[in-house]
Amino acid sequence: MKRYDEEALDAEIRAHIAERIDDLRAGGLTDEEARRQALMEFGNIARLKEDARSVWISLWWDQLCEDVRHGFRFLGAKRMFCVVAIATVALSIGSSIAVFTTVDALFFQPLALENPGQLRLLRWSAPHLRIAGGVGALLEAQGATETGQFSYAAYNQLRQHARAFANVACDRFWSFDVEDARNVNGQFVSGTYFTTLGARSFAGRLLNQDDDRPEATPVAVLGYDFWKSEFHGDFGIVGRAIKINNQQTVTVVGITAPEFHGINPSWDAGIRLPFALHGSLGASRLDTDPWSACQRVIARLEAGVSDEQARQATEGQIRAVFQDGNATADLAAVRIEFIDLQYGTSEVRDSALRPVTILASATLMILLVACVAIGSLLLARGAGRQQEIATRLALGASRSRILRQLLTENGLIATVGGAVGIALAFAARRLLPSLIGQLSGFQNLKLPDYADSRVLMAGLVLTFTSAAIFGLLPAFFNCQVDLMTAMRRKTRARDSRWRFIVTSGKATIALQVGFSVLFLVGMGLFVRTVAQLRAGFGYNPANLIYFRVTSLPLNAPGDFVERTYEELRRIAGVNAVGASVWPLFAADEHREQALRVCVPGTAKDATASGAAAPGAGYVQVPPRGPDLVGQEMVSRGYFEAWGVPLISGTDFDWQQRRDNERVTIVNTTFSRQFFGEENPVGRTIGFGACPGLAVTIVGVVADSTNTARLKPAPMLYRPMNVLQVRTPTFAVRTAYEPDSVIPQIRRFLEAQGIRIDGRDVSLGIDYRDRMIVREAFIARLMIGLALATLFIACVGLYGLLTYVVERQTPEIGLRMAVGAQANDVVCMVLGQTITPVVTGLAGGLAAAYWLTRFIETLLFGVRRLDFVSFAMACGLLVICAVIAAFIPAARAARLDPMRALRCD
Amino acid sequence: MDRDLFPGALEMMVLQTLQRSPMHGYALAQHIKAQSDDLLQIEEGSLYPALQRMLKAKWVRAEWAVSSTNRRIRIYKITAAGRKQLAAKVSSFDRMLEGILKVMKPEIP
Repeated sequence: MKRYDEEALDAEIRAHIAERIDDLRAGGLTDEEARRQALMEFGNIARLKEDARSVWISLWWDQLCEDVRHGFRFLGAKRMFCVVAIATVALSIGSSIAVFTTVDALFFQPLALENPGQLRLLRWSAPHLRIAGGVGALLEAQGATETGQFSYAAYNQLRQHARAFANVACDRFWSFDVEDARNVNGQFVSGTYFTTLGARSFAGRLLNQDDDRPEATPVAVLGYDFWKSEFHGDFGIVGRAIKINNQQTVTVVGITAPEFHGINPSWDAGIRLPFALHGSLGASRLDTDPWSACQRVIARLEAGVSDEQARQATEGQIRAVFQDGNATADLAAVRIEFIDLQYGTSEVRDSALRPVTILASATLMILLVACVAIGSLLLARGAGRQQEIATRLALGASRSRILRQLLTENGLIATVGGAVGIALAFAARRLLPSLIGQLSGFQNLKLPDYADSRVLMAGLVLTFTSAAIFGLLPAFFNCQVDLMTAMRRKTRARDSRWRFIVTSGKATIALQVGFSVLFLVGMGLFVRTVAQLRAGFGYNPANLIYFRVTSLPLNAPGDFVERTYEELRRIAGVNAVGASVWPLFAADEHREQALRVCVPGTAKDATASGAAAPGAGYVQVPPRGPDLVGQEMVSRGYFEAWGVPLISGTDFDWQQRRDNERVTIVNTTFSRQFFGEENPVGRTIGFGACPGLAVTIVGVVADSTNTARLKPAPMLYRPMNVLQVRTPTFAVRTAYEPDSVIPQIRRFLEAQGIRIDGRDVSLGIDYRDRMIVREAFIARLMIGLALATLFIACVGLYGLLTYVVERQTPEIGLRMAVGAQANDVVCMVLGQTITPVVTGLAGGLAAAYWLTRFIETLLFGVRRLDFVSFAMACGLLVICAVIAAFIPAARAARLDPMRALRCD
Repeated sequence: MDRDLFPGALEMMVLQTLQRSPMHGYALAQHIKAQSDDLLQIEEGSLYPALQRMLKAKWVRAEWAVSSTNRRIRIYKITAAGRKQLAAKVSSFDRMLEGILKVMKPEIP
C-alpha cells in the first residue's frame, strides 16, 4: 500500500463495527443497543479517518497536493467568482508583463554588437559656429551651436590620428531605388563601419576599407529584412550585380545579421554602400558640401582609455580640422561630447518615453487595483466561510493547516491567473512593439525580441507580488476565527472583526473610487483632445478617397490629369475630384517646398519688419523661419474634394493651367499675415527674388493641415502643371459611404493601367487618424481603464453594502418596527457610502491635479485642469456609485420588520 | 485515542500482539482490550490510524481475507522491520517505566 486508500479503510471499519455488533448481539443486546454500543466504543469515525489520512499526507508536498485538489474543488464550486478573479489577474499580469518586457527591450537591451559599451557617438559644439554649405545654413537657421555632423576630412583626421580610438566610422542616411524597389532606406558608410561596430554577416562578407576607395569595384551590403522581403531570402543574390537608382551597378557582397540594426535598434537600413559611391549616386560631392558627409561619427574606445582622455584628444584633432577653412568657430571653445552607445541611440525612445510611461504606470495601477479588489472580495467571502473554518477548527484541524489551505486557494488564483497572463503576454509580444511604434510615430519600429526567460521572470515576480498583495492578508485574517462567535451563526454588528471588514472594505472602495476618478479625468481630457485634434485639420475626411499615382500609363496624354479628373467625375456617386502633388499637406513637413515670396508691403508689414523694400512697395518674406511660406500645386476641384472651404474669390479652372496664367490661391493665415483684414483677392505678389514673378491672388481658402497640432502656416497654391508633376495625387469626394464607390474606382484604375502607391486606394479617415494614433490610443486606453476601474469600484461598493445590510438586518428591522420609513432606511444605508466615496473622490481629484502636469504636452485644445473633464468624472462616478449603492439600500428598505428581527 | 497513552504505546502493543499471530483489526482491538482487562481507555477506532502509520513505516503488512462471518477483512502481519522496532520499543519502554517507577515510589530501593 503506497498511499492512502480511503475505500479500504472504510471497508475495514465497516467490518469492524459489524463484527462488534454481532458479538454484542450474541451477548444479549438488542439490535439497536448493540449498534449504539459498537459505535460508541469505536469512537469518532470522521476524526480517525482524518488521522489515518494525515499519516499518508504528512509530507508537505502531499499536503500541498491535497490543498491544491481541495482548492480546485472549492474554486470549481464558486465558478463565477473564480472566473472573474482569474481573468482579472490574468489580464492585469499579462498586460504588465507585455508592457514591462517591451520597456525592457526598448530601453535596456544592449545592442547586438561586440562590446557595445565601448562604442561612442560623437557630437561637438562651439559658439559662433560657421560652416560652409547647406549644413551650415541649416544649423544657422536653427540657431544651433551643437551638431553630430562632421566633414569627411574630420572623420579621416580622427580615424588616422586619434589614438584614443580603436576604430572610427562614419555614416550618412540616404534613400535609394534598389532594382524595382523605390525609396529604400539606406546608408553610405565608411569602410571602417562594420569593423568599428563589431557586426557579423549573415551571408557573404561585410564592407571593408578596400571597398571604400574610389577605384574599388562598387559593392553593397543588404539588410536582412530587406533581403527577405525584396529578394525572398535568395542566397544567390550574394555575388550578383544589382542596379541602384537605375544608373549604378553594384555587386552585393553580403547580408547583415538579422539582429543587426546599426546603432539604432528602431531603424532598419535595406542597403549599405561605401562612401566611395557618394558622388556617383547623386549625393552632393564631398568637396563642395563637406560637412554634410558624416551625419554620425561612431568611435570604439581603445581598451583602457577613459572617456575624458579620449574627449580631450578628440578636441585637439577637431581643432586641427577647422584649419581647413570650410568651417570657422571659436577654436578654443570647441567641445566634444560622447554619447554612450551601449543601448544604442533611438529617437523612438525619446518620443515613446511619455506614452510608454503612461502605459506602464496605468498598467501598474490597474494591477494594484485588481489585486486590492480581489483581496477585498476574498476577505468578504472569507467572512461567509467562518462557519466552515470554525467547524474544521472544532474538529481538530490546526490553524496553520487552515491558513495553508486558504493561502493555497488564493495562490491557485494567482498561479492560474499568472500562467494565463504569461501566455497572453507571449501572444501579444508581436503586437506591442507595433503599438509602441505607432504611439511614438515610428511605424516600422524594430525591437529586439525579448528573451523568453525575462518574460518568465517578469511574470513570476509579478504573480508572486500580486499574490502577496491580495492573498496574504485575507488568508491571515480569515483564519483568525473565534470559535464561539462563529458557531453562533450570526455575528453581532458590534463585533470588532465585523468592524475591521467594513473599515477595510471602505478603504478599498475609497482607493478604487480614487483610481476610477483619476482615469475618468484622463478619459475626459483625452477624449476631448482627440475631438479637438480631429476638428483641427481643416479638411473633411469623411466620404473621401485618395490615391497617389506612381506611374502613368504608357503614352499618357499631356492632359492626363485633366482627363482623369473628368473621367473620375463621371463615376456615379462621385461629388468632387481634385488633384495635387501630395495628399493634403501643410508647410511644415516639406521644408524644401518653402518659398521666397515678395508681398506688396502694407503699412503694417513694412514697419513691422523694418525691411527696406527691395522693389517698390514689396516686402521680402524670408524662405525659412517663423514666416515659412509653403506651396503646393493643385488642380481645379482640389479644395472641394478635400472639403476645404473657399472663403472668397474663385477656384482655379483648367484654362488657367493651360494658359500658364499667373494666378494663385492663398490660405487664411497667408492672407491675415500679409494683408491683415484686407481682402487679398485681386492683389499681386511676387515669386522668387523680389520683385519676382508677379502672380495674382484669385481666391482665399480656409487653413488646413495634415499634421495634428501644427500651427497653421501661410500657404500658396498654384495651378498644377502636369508636365512637371508625373505622380499626381487624386482626391475623390463621394456622395455617400466610400465603400460603395471604391470598386468602381479600382476598376477604372485597372482599365486605364494606372499604378498607384500602396496596395489600394486610401481613405481620408485613415489619413486623418494616422496623425492622431497616439492620442486616440491613449484615449481608448483611458476609456478602458476608466470603465474597468469604475466597474470594479461599483461592484466593490455593491458587495460591501450587501454584506453590511445582511449583517445589520436585525438593526434595520428594529428601526422599522419603531417607525422608521423606507426613506430613512435607504438614507441610513446610502449614508455609509458617503465617507469612502467622498474620500476617494477627493483623493482621485488631488491625484489628477498633480498627475495631469505630466501629460500636459499630450493634450490639445483642453487645459490640463479642464473643468468639463473634472466635472464629468465626478458626475459619472457619483451617478454610478449611487446606482450601485441604491440596489442593496432598496433591498434593505423592503425588509419585513418582523422577519428581520427574528433573524438574529 | 492515544491521548491517554504515551506516544508509540499503542503501536508497541499492536506489534507485540501481532508478533504472536497475524490478526485483523477487530480481533486486535478485542485482544488488546481483553489483555488489558479494559484498564486502558482506548477507542477502538484509534487503532486504525496507528495501523496506517505502521503500514507506512513498513512494520506491518496487510493482506485481504474473508472472515468466518463472510466479511472482507484485512489481516495484519508483523515484518522483520516491525520485530526490530518492537525490540527497540520494548527496551526503551522498560527503561522509561523503571524511571517513572523510581520517581513515583522513591522509598522502594
